[in-house]
Amino acid sequence: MTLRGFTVSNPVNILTEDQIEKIHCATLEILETTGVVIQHKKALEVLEGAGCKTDHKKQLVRFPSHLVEECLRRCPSSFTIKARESKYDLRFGGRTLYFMPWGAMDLLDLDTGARTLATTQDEVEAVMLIDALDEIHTHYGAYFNFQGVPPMISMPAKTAIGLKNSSKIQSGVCGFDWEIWQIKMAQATGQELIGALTGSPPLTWGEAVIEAVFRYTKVGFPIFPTSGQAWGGSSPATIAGSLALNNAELMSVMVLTQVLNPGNRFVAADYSQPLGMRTGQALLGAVENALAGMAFAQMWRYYGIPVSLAANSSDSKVPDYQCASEKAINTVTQCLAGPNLFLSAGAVYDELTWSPVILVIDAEIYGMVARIFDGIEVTDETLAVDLIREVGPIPGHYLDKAHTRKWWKKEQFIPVLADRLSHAEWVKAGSKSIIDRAKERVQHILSTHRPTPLSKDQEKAIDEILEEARAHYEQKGML
Amino acid sequence: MDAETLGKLREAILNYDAEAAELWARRAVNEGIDPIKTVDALTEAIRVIGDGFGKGELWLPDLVGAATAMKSAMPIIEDEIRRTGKKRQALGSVVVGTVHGDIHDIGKNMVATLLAANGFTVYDVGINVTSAEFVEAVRKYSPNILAMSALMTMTSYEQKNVIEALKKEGLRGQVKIMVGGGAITQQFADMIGADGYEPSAPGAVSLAKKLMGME
Repeated sequence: MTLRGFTVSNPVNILTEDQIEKIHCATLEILETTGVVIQHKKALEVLEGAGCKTDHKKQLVRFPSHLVEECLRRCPSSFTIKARESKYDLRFGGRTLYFMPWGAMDLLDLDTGARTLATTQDEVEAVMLIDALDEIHTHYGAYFNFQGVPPMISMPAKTAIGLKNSSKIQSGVCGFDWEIWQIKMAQATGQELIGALTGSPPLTWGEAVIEAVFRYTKVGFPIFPTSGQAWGGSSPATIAGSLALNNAELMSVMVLTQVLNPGNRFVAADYSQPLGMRTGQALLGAVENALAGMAFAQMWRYYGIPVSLAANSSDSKVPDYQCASEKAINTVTQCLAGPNLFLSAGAVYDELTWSPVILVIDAEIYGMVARIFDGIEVTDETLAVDLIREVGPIPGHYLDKAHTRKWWKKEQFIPVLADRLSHAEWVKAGSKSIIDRAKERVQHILSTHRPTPLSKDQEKAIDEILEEARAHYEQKGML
Repeated sequence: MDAETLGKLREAILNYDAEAAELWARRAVNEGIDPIKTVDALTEAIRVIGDGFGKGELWLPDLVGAATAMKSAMPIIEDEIRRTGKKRQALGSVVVGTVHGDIHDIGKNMVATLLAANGFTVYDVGINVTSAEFVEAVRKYSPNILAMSALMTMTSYEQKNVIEALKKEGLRGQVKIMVGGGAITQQFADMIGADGYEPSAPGAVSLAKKLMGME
C-alpha cells in the first residue's frame, strides 16, 4: 500500500522547447565556467575524483557538462519513500502530486493577529491534524521554535513530536548536526526521512549542509535540496536568470549526491521568490512565483527528476483576502504544472507564521485544485444527448433523473468548509466565516482523531536519542 | 574647487557610481581637502538616499547601490583622516555582521548604510561570521553596539551562540547587542538575551540611538 496522492494528468507547459534548451545550456555553462563554492574539504576531494575542476583555496568546483548530464541520468525518476505504516509510503515521480506543510517560525493567533511563540503542545496538535487530513501526505510539522525549549534542541524535539504523533513521512532539516538525531530517530522507528537541505545562494553550499549530504547519502535517505533564492538579491532580478542559477545550484549538489551514492533518491525543490525591494524579505505570495514555479517544474520534468514547488504562502500578515488570493493563485497555477510535491500548507505570512486553522482550509483548497486535474469527461453518457431529447424544453428538468443522481457528485466538488448556504440560512446558522467553521473543524479533529501510536520501545528509543542530542549540545555549550 | 570636487563626489553617490566615487574621493585627497569635510559630503549624500528610501521613492537596489559607492570612497578618506590625525565626530561605533551559517548580506547592508548615514562609525565584519570572529571584532574595535543579522529561521539560533561566546570571554557587559533579520521577533530576541530587536532598517537607527542612551 502506498499513499496515492493526487494525479495531475495533463501538466501545463509554460516554456517552449527552445526555452528549455536555452535554460539547460545556461545552467551547464554556469556549472562549467563560474562553478559553485562547496565549503567542505572532503566533498571537494570527492568531486575532484569524479572529474570536476576544483580550486581548494577558493573551495570552488567547476562541473564538466558530461558529468552533470551523466549524474542527471543516475537519479531515479520514480521511487518509494518508506513510512512506518506502509499505507503512508510515498511514491514520488510521474504525475503524482503530494501536499506538505513546511511550518513557520511562529504560531499566528487568529484572534489577535499576533505572532506567538508556539508551545510543544501546539506542535503536537498540528501534527495530529496533519495525520488526520487526507489531503496532506507528508510534513515538516508546524513551528521552528517552542516556549521553554532551547533553540538548539527545538529541531530534534520537533522530529520527536512528529514521529510520536503521526505515521506520515516527515522531513528532516540540516544544520548544527540536527540531521544526526533526526536520522537516528527515523531509523529507530523503522522509517525514512526526506533529507531537506537549504542552500546559500548565489552558488554556495555551506559546510553543515554538505556534511548532511554525506550523512543522508550514507543511509541512503532521499535528498531534498532547495537553494532559497531572492531574485534581485541572491540571484538575478530576472526569472530566466534565476531559474538557470537555481538549477545550477541544485545540480551541483545533485552531482555530489550521485557521486557519493549512485541512484540516491533526489527531489529538486524550488524555493525561490522575488526579493521585496522595500524590506529585503522574500515575497512568498508574489504572483511571479506562479510563473517561475511552473517553469521550474517543467525543467525538472524534462530531466526526469521528481520536483517540489513551494509557494503556498502569502505576504499578508493575517488570513484575509490578500492571503487567500495569493495562496490560491499560486497553488492552482503551480499544481497544474505537475510538481510531485507542493509546500506549504498552513502557512500564512511567508515562512514566519502558521496556523492550524489555515491548514484545514488549505486541505480543502487542495481538494478543489484536484478537481481541476480530473478534467472534463467527454463520452456519450456525459454528453447526454438522449437525455436532453427526453427532457426537452420547459417544463422539462433534470432534478429527478437517474443521470443527475449518478453524475452530480462526480462532477461537483463538495466542500466542507466553504459556505454555500442561502443568505437567510447563513444568518440562521450564526453568520459564520470560513475561519469560524475551520476552527470548529480543528477542534472536532483534535477531539476525535487518534494517530497510530509508536510502540513503547520506539517511544523510549526516541526519548533516549533526544536526551543524547541534549547532552551533545550541552557539552558544546550551545544550550 | 572644494565645492566642485565634493559636489562631484556627492553626485557619484547619488548616481550609484562606485567608480566615480572612488575617483572623486582620490581627487579630494590629492586636492588636500579636509577629509572631515569629505566625509560630511558623503554622509549628506547617503542621507538623501536614506530619506528617499524612507519616503518610498527609492528602493532597496538604490539604497544598496549608493552604499556600495560610498564603500568604495570611504577607505580612501579614512586613510587620509588617519594620515592627517584628524578626529571624526561619531555618534558611536557599531560592529555589524551576518552570523555563521548565513551568508545573506542584504539586510545587514541596509542597516550598515543607514547607521553610517546617521553618523555612526560602522565596522562591517561581513557575512558567515563565526562567534569567535564576532568576539575578536568586539575586542578589536570596542564598539558601543554589536548588530547581528540572520535571515534564515535556522541560522537565527546562531545569534544566541555569539551572545554566549561574548559572556564566556567576559565581553558581554561592554557592548549592547541588537539583532534583526526576517525570521526574528521581539520574543526571540528576549529569549536569546539581546538588548534590542528591530524589524526595519530605518528603525535600527533609532534603536541604536536608544541603546546609546540618546533617544
